[in-house]
Amino acid sequence: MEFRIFTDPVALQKLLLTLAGGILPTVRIFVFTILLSVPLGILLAAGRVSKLKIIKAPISLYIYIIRSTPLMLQLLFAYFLVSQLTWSPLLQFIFGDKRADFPMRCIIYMFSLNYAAYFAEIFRGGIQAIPVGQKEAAKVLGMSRAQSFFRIQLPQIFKTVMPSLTNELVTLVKDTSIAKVIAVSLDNRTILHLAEKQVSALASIEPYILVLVFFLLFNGIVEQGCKWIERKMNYYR
Amino acid sequence: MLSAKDIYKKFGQTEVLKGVSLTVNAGETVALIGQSGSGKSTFLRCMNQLEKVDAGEIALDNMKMCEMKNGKIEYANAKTLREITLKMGMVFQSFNLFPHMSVLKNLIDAPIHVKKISKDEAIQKAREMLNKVGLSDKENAYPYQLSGGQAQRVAIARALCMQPDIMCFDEPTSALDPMLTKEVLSVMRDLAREKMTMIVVTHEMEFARDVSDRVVFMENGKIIQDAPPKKLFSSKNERVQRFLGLWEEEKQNAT
Repeated sequence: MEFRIFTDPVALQKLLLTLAGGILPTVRIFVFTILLSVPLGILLAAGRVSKLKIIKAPISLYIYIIRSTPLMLQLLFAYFLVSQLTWSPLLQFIFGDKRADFPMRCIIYMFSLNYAAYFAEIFRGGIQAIPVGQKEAAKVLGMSRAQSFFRIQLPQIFKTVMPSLTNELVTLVKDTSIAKVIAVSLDNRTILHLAEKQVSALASIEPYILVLVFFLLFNGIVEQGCKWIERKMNYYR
Repeated sequence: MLSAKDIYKKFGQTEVLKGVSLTVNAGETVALIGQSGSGKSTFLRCMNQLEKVDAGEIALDNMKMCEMKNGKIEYANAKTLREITLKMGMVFQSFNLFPHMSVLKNLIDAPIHVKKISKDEAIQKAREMLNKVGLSDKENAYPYQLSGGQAQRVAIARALCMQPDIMCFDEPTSALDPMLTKEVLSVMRDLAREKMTMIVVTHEMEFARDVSDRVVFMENGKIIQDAPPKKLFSSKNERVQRFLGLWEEEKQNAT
């Protein structure tokens, strides 16, 4: 295998600059998906352990559907479904401008809805792992259900689920590559999306090698970050 | 102060409480004894609203927790129930300290966020209570760093920080070895001496005999005898005698 581009500083610089344009969209999908899906996942988990069937049943169905179908299909489905709607002020508010903001927001929303389902199952496990005595202690101290959940249970839940969360976050980094199935504008393309174009334009696999390195670095940071958080929560057992 | 009348409670098909009535007067220490499964813990948990009763009346001072209306149990509104909760402290067999909080934080969290007292005031109260249970040097420790006896004393201090009118203990020493049991009982003895109103579900017969004002013997979901310790420990009742006989036997075997 010969490295035509890696040995040509000018071509390499050009390629790096092109691919660099894909870093921000990739990171953006990652960050916003976490920000939306984790709280949503916690909410779904809380509903999932509810005794009320009217809350529990629809959430179970939702999780079943999301987990049983490919994210790529969900993304395409959401995109074409919403793009056929007439743009009302409400849609404008949620998805932004149809041409400029919509594809990227659609990606972030669908990723969030998807990951929330997985997070919900993880958090459900965490909720059920909390000894019932913790809830009882909170109750006899007069805490409301919300106080009991947020002050007593949630911090302990995070500690138990952190290893599983790390797993999901690493997968999320890689899943950002699915975003390319939607026709986003040039400055919203993920790094893999841009690399694919470059591979065919340059007739070389070198862009792929760079993307490989990018994912290794990105996930290296994510894993170290998660480990740091785990260590932070290790002050108690 | 606390009165329960004709309490019934079922778990599925099993009747656990079959018409239990008990009154606890202010300043009294009442020990609930009896075999495992006799319903004493369930009864205490009903007093604490950790379980809902199927029938009966419970009142704390002039506040009704629940009563019978047209043959159906009816609980008071949320505000009253909360008020009653705040007046009752609870100590569990398994301590149930919050593992992610330091000892001091365990003690001040509810006073600050539930009773809405100032942080300084809460800390002052917490230190006073820690001193009382002999753990002033542990305020920055985490629960996992404590022995069982220390953890239980912290749990007692935590309940006391809410300044309850009545303290409930659910087998507070059952998870502890004899040495640790001693240090916890000594704290409870002090409380009894200070005339704290207490209901204690316990298997510690010496404690029941020496510290409590009244001993209540339960069997099979019913109160068999409710009497001052002297009277109960020389009871003529055959079932009480049998239970106390078992205890004597065990004591003999242990020595």
